[in-house]
Amino acid sequence: MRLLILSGKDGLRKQIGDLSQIEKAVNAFIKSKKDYETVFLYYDRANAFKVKKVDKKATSIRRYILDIEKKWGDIDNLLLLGGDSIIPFFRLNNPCDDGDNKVLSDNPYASRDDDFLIPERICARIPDNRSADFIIKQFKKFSKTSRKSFGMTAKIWKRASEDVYQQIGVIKDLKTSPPVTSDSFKEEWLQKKQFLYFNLHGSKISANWYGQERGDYPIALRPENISNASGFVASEACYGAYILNKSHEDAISLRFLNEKEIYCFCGSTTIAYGPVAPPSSEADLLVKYFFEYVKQGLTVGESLKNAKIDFARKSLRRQGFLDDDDQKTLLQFVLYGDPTSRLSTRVKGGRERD
Amino acid sequence: MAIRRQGSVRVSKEVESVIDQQRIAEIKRKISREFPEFRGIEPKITEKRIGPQDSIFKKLSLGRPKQFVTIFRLKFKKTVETVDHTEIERILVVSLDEQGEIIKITESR
Repeated sequence: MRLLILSGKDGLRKQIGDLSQIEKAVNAFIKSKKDYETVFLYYDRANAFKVKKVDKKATSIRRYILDIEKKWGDIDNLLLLGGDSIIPFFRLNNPCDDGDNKVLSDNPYASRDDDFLIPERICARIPDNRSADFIIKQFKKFSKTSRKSFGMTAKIWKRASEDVYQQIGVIKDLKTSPPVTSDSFKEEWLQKKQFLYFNLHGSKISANWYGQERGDYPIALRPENISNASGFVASEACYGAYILNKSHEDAISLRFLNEKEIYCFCGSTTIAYGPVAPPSSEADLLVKYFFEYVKQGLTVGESLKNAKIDFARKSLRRQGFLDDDDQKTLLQFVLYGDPTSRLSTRVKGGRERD
Repeated sequence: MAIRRQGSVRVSKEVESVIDQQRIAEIKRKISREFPEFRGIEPKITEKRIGPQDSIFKKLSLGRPKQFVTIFRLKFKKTVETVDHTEIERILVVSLDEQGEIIKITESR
């Protein structure tokens, strides 16, 4: 399995400053990944493959990846190191008529051809959060064994969320908002967990996620509610993975990743859609499949890739086509964190391996 | 697609020929009943003709259906305010097949 870790040196240096500690952490990570043939490259610097360096443009960086692949062979895993100012998200046309002018997406980086809906390689991103410590932390996470999960949904989507949550937890444990709000939220709910699931409202401009009952929209979760959290996180919130000009202070996704035992964050960069009741479709279905694969022991990168493929197949079987919402769902869900991370499994002697 | 006003419903000429006013009124009543927060919202009605999505079917190694499909969408949209005064765009979409049967109802998250 080949793994390409890609960043932009000028952009990363502008955000972080001295890169020596990050490079050291990446090299240690590479050494620890014995099952992977891993290369770390800056797209704006000369490289051993003699592929011409490129500017910080999404299309140029994608072309660069394809050129590296021609020299090196199929890249199975791609890890983008940095946020939008280092490796830009693609701005794709929005298939839906809603408030998003464009869909921020990493799908084109995961695709070898011009059809960006269906990924062909695993792709994840480690945002920079303008912090070397934040980046280094992502390369040093090792999943621990836990069997419990936590889930939280806006009350209006309780039935739809139960259909997702049953993959990872006990339905009666699923919290609804209201009555739960950020004021009554207990930090320990997020601690020592295997999976964390959220089906709440989100906003591009607010740091918070919201519940709903009829016309009431209470704050369900604030960044401040997250402390010593652990597990694999997936959220259906609109803009749940929107990180442009944000930090762990005002983006729940980055707040989660700043925790040393949060292994990934899977979410949407833009307005997401879902059903009001089962059967699962759109964001509900994608997240459900994602959890299923992670639970089976696949890496989180494989899990999202497979979830997107299964999502497309299921939608085609149901309807015969992918409609606007389906297409947007495929484009908008991104994965933050180490794509090779997976559930830990106990081995003889009680040791754990990741 | 040219959109014109007909009665209280925004509807295109092409859509009007297939989805009659009675069906639209039925759906609006259903939405008012089951989703009271969208009561009184006039939906935007659009028609979409979807051709065989060759590249997707090919990429998934699936045999592709050859026929074109027409779907209709009734989009109900409103802006709400959360308890901390954040404005959120709420969207509810009812998708219909050519016979006017509901395929699915989705909501923005």
